[in-house]
Parts: sequence; C-alpha cells; structure tokens
Amino acid sequence: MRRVWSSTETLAALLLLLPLLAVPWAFKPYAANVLAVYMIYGILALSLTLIWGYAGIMSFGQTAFFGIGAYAYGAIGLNWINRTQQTHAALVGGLVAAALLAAVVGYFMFYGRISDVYASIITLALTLVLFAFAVSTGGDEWVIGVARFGGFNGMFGQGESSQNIANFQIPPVTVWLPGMAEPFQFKINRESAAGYFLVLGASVLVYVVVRWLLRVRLGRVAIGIRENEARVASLGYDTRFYKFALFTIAGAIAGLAGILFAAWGRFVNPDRFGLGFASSTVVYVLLGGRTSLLGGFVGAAIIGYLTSYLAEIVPFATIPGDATPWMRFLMEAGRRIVREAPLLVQGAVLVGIVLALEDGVTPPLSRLLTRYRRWAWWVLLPVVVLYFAHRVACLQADWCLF
Amino acid sequence: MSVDTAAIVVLEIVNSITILVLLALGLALIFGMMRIVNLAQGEFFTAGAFTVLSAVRFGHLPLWAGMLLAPVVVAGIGIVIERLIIRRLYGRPLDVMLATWGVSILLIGLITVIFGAVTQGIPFALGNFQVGRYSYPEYRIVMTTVAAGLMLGVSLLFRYTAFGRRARATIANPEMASAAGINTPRMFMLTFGLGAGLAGAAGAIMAPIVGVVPTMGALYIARAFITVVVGGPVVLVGTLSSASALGFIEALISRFSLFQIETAGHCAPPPCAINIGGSAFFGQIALLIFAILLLRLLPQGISGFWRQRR
Repeated sequence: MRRVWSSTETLAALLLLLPLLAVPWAFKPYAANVLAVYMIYGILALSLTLIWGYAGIMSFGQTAFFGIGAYAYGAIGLNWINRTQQTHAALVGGLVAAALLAAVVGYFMFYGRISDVYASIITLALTLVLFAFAVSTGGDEWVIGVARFGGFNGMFGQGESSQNIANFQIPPVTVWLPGMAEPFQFKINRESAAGYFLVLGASVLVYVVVRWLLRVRLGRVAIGIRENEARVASLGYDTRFYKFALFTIAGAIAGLAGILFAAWGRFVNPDRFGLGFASSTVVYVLLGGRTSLLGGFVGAAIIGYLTSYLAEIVPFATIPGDATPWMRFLMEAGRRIVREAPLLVQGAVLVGIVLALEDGVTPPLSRLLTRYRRWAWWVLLPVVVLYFAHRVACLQADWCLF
Repeated sequence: MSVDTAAIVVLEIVNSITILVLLALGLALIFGMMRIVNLAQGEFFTAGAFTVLSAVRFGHLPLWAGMLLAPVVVAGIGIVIERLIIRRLYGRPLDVMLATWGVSILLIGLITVIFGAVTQGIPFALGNFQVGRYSYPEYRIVMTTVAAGLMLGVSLLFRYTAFGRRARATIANPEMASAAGINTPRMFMLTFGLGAGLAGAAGAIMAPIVGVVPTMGALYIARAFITVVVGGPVVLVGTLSSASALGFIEALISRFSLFQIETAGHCAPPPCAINIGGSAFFGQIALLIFAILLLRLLPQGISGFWRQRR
C-alpha cells in the first residue's frame, strides 16, 4: 500500500499547527484576529487551488461564491438571531446559496462545453456583475426582513427598539444545540478565542476533505482532465460531470470562507465582489503555489503581512515648509506610492511569478523541508516549540527570559 | 408606441451597440489574431481617457487633439508591455492572461499614484437635439460615427495594406510567414499595439460622457469580454454581430423592464413596492444572462457558428 502521509508531512503539520494553536495565548487578541482572516482567505484560495491546480479550470469567480455565501449568511443570520438565538440556518443557507450559484454557472459552462479561457472570462464577468448589483442595492427597497443590503455601505440589520430605529451587525457564528444551557458565540476578543479556533478548525477540516477528495475517483479523474481531457473522455468518463461536480464543491468551499468572513468581521460589503479581491485571491494561489493545497494559506499570509506592514510605514510626517520643490515632489511621490502599495505589490507579484517563479513558494519550501528533515525534526521544531512556550509563559504568567 | 418613442428606442439601441463595439474592437483584435486574453485592455481604455484628461487640463490642448493623441500614447504603452512581458509568454495562454492581469493591476496602481483616486470630468460643448417629445445628446451620434469609422478602418487596414496582409499571414501560420521573410515578432508587436491603441481610442471617445477614474476600466471590461466571447473567432464580423445582438437586448431591457413588486411589511412608509429594472444595471444583467444562454447554444460564438454552417 502506498504511504498516504509521509513523515515530512507530519513534521509540516506540527510546525504549522502547534504555533497556530498557541497563538491566542502567546500574543495579544489582535494577532489571533489577523491570523483568522488570513486563514479565511486561505480557505478561499484553497477552493481556487482545487479547481485550478487540480482540474485546470481557472476561475476568477471564486470571490463571487465567497460574497454570495457572506451575504446569504448575513441576511439569514440577521433575521434569525433575535428569534432563535442561533445561526444554524444561516450557516446552511450560506453554503447552499454558494453551492447553488456555482452549480448553475458550472452547468452552463461545462455542459455548454465552453473552452477553458472562456470559462475564466465568464466567471470574471459574473463577479463584476454581482459587484454592480451589490453596489446598486443602497435604496430602501433592498431589505430582507430586518437585513438591509445597504449598497456601498455593506449589510447591516435595522430594527425598532422602543420607538428608535437601531442598527445592528451581522451576528458571529452562534450555536445553540439541544443540550446546551445558553447559546455559544464564536467570537475573537480579550476573553475568548473561540472564533479563532472555529476558523482554524474549518481550515484543517477543509484541507483534510480536499485531500481526501483528490484521492478518490472524483479527484483522480479531475487530475486526468487537467493533464489530457480528450484522453480521459475517450476512456469513457463524462468529463463535463466531473468538472461540474468539482466546480460546485469548490463553490461551496468558497461560500464557507465567505460565511466565516461575514461572521468574523460581522460585516460584508460589495468589495468582496470587486476586482481587487478577485485578483488578490489569484495572487495568493500563484504566490503560494497552485499545485500545493497549503499554497493558498501561505500566499494569503505572506501578502496579508506584506500589505499591512506596508500600510504601517505610510509616512505621516508633514512635509516641512522649507523643503525644496524637488524634496517636496519626492516625498509626495513616495507617500502616494506607499499608499497604493497593496495594488502595486499584487501586480508585481503576478507578473513576476508568471515570468520567473512558476511554482510559487510552497513547493521549494517543502523540498527544503524534505531535504533537511532531520535538522527540522531535531532543531527547528524544538526551537519553534520553545519559542512559543516562552511566549505563552511570558504573556500569561510574566515568566519572561528576555 | 408613437413614432418619436420608437425613434428614441432605435437610437438607444444604436448607442448600446456603439458602446459595445468601441469596447470590444481592440480586445477582439488581440484575442482573434493573437489568441491572447488581454485583461489589461480595460486599463488601456482608462489610459486613453486619462491621456485626454491630461491633454485638456495640463496641456491646454483642444478636446479633439487630446482624442487624437490618446490612441498613439496607448499604442505606445501597449508596445512597451508586449516587448517587456507578453513576448516571453507566447504559447502559454493562461500565463499570458495572468501576466496581463498583473499588468492591469499595476497600471491601476500607477495611474492612481499619478492622478489620485478621484473621479474627474472632462467638459465638452455639444448639446441635445429634439426627437419629437424627447431630446437626445448629439455626442452619441459622434460616437457612433467614430465607431463605424474605426471598424471600417480596421477592416481596410487588414484587407488592403501590406501590413494587413503580413499580419494575417503571421496569424495564419507563423512559421511559414517567417520563412517567407516576414518579421513575425514585429507583426505580433504591432498587432498588439494596434489593439491597445483601439482601446485607447475608445477610452478617449467615451471620456467626456463617463467619470474619469483610475478604476473605470473594470466597469467596462466585463461587457467587452462578453461581447468578444459571444462574437467568436472572426474579429470584425463577430464583434459587430455580437455587439448588435447584445446591444439590442441591453437597450431594450434597460428601457422596458420596469416591474413593481408589492412587498409585505418590514418597510416604511407603508405602500411598499420594489421597483425592479428600468435601469442600465438591469440591461447589463440581461446581457450577461443572454450571453451565457447563447454560449450554451453556440459554444463557438456567433461567427464560429456561421463558419461551421458554411
């Protein structure tokens, strides 16, 4: 029997999961909050990796399913939270909405035998049209129950409390199962990191499910389609069905990411359908490596860290009055460039990776890990564990060595 | 329907078709001739509009001079991008698409750095004319004329000039054309430049009637791509026929799709009704749905369908 799980993978899993599990205790809540959103983007990127890296279908539209999931979760959650104190229906509704949209679009694309390039264009057009739609829902008539679409401002709830109109936000994921005394909210704040662990758990779950999918018939045929669709078809497989099924599953995964996003930020606005978000998703996958399931997470973390770091170094200093015109010009130019840095970095990464580094960063990293796995086991892993143990001890009990 | 209403509807359909032709022509040229999906086309459009803006505002040139300058400048940008990036990626269609997307994002960033993220208008002096009870902007007639002129010009260029013959030979069989002494890399470069220039011209023409903002390309790129995909492999015939079909649908739906739906409760003040449709947005939704349905029936696009029938 083939070995399913190599020791290098165990090592990688330990190296990633141990620190991630320790984060809420090792750092301030801000870190858990930021890491959660990177993981949410990672799940979205994983859905793109699944259909692009493994089935060869480039979709610019994963963000459409993400956004639909988020909006559906928001609309149902806002309406049900006050009545039932839980968001079970919203979770299911968000998943179903995303899967349904993916199924409809996938049906027309794959049963219409549209070529790959056209499929990417149609998914792109879908996102942009949804963007235009979400933006145009600012008026008073775009209301579902107490949930207002809100156009550019994003979705929020509006209800009446003692004759005042009160606004409230999309609820966090809230569970109230039969045996529980009171509903449990998955939040990320000073008291609780449940929301963080929810996202971490969802990431691991999705990763495991996708890995399993790729080992069973569906995934194997999909990889065959990527390599040579005509040959797979001539072996008697209905390639349309396999593409359609995989596309729908990927849509549902993207929808799950959208749900988690809406619950994480307690907010969703049309930017989730925008070109910028669509492009960042592709950049995550490309940078992380489109043939590696972890790639999307790695790419999301790198880009996320880079852009927030660049945003922090925006020069706030006012330009001194006695500066020469040239200095003035240079400072103003620098300030503007830094302000647009997220876009410029994304564009440069896209072009650079396509031209130079086709595999992204994860495969070379995993090769390095395989090559030096002895060192990683006996040096890197203990160092990482000790570092995080020290962070936890330092933050929780003030036992700081340095 | 009275005569003047009918006339206005016809004019609106013509205007829709005009806009689609303007948006799609350069894209169709690059896609049809070079099999490149150029996602930076929307930013070439934007660059054309900004060329006009800077010519008018900073160069104090008359509007028409800015509009003549725009295609030249944008064709130059296109040629530089072809030489630097796209040249290395021929034969890898998906990678070209991603690289052009990167270029598109970079261009948006650069234009924002230079001009700022504000919407700017370009003033122009053309009025309206009367059609029965309605008034209609004269500038739209100018746009239609220019679009027709561009179509005709491209058609003549490829049919009757030495450049056109060489370009078509290069597209049909690059190796053979190269053996016959045609400088094929140069032909690819010029074709790409021409496609970029056409997008620049479209941006310049439409600049006075839209808000000029660095992200404006994204608003139009979806419709341009849908038009090209529906048009299929034959550049001019495909673009014109799909622009006609889609423009017809878009204009009709935009005008005649006003539904009122009564809603029960949950809104104030009480007589609650949702007005759905009756806006340009619903025309665009209809356009997308119609295009997807059409592609379900004719996967090769309109011109591909006719080519198969022959």
